[in-house]
Amino acid sequence: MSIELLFENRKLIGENILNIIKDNGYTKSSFSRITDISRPTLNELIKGEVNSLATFKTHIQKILESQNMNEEQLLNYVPKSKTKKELIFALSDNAPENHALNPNAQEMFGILEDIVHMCELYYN
Amino acid sequence: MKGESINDLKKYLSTGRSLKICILDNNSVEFLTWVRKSVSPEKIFSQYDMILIPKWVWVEVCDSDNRKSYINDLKHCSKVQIIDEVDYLTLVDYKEAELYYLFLYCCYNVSRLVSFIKKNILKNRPVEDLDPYEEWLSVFYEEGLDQKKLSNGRIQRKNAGEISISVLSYIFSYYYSGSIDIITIFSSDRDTYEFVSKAKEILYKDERFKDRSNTSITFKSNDLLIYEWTRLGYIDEQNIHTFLDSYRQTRRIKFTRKKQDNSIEEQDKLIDNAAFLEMLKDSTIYLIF
Repeated sequence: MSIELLFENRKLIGENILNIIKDNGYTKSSFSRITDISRPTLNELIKGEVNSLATFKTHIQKILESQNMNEEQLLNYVPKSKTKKELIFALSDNAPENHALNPNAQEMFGILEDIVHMCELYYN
Repeated sequence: MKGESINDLKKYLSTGRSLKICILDNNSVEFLTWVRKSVSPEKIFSQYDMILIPKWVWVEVCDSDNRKSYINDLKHCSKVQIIDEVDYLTLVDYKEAELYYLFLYCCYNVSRLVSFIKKNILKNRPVEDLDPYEEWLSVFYEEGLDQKKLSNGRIQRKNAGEISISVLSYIFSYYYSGSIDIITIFSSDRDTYEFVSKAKEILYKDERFKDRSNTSITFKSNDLLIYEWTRLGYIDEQNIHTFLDSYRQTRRIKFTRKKQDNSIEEQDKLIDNAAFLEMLKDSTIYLIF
């Protein structure tokens, strides 16, 4: 994959750089330090506002080296927030108001409610 | 420690060996200077690969020539290093946002400090937009911590030592768990214990840290040291009375005790010297702090 392709997608690359910073516990300031890119230039990279291909290339190389990544991984970077397993607990009772459940159904719903409650308690 | 030496320490901590590290608090150093004639530093420290003192604690140690000379003499028993808090950033591989959270969580017992950090350091911005570490660390130390002028003219910063020890111990715990087996804090300061305990509670729930491997942080309070020394025969039974009268006062101790049915009770209570003497004879007791 060529740097030119990354340059064409520099808005997306900027978002990915910011996600790499967040996901790895850096700040823009510390990331600028480890990559040896000045803060103003890093900000421009993040905003996708570097308009010179040569400048873009130089700085992207520094980021790839520091993060031990290749161009493809940078372009297709998936932030941790999107890969995180989200478990949603839902339980709905759509019975009309004042509706009395028969004893069997009531017992089954009771058990289900207990299971959902236990999952909520112990999942984390 | 500056420049190359912090990188030497990083290399040493990443060797994959099962290191035993101890971190010293000022109050423990003071206690150890008192008991030096009864228990030599070699007996206490030769089991550790490294003895560390954060700079904010070192400043307090240096208020006394006795304490300072005790630490200087420790160099014969083990590797001793004073670590500047500025170097914590290098130790965490420049993961400055994570370092911010370590500081924040280690201050959680003092709500005034938490408010200060959020208002004057985070300043309502995303954490990735923090000012450089050296800058916010200095704001925290100079403006966030309560100050008191000591008789020697030095300005003492309340809780600086406790916070620095807590943060440093979590840096070792989370970033060097593969190389470190033991992280023991020598302290009898309840605040240090509480700061570390509170931070642990929060770190175990925090998405950034909760699934990471980490080394447990343990404590050796003065009482635990006395308990250990009597077991090892460093203080004999005839002298223990005098020893306690000279060096120990009533103190709250956290401990466990095995019951007759092998269940374990947890206790956290004020123990005077008479009760402590009884505890020393009880082999079912384990002191926590």
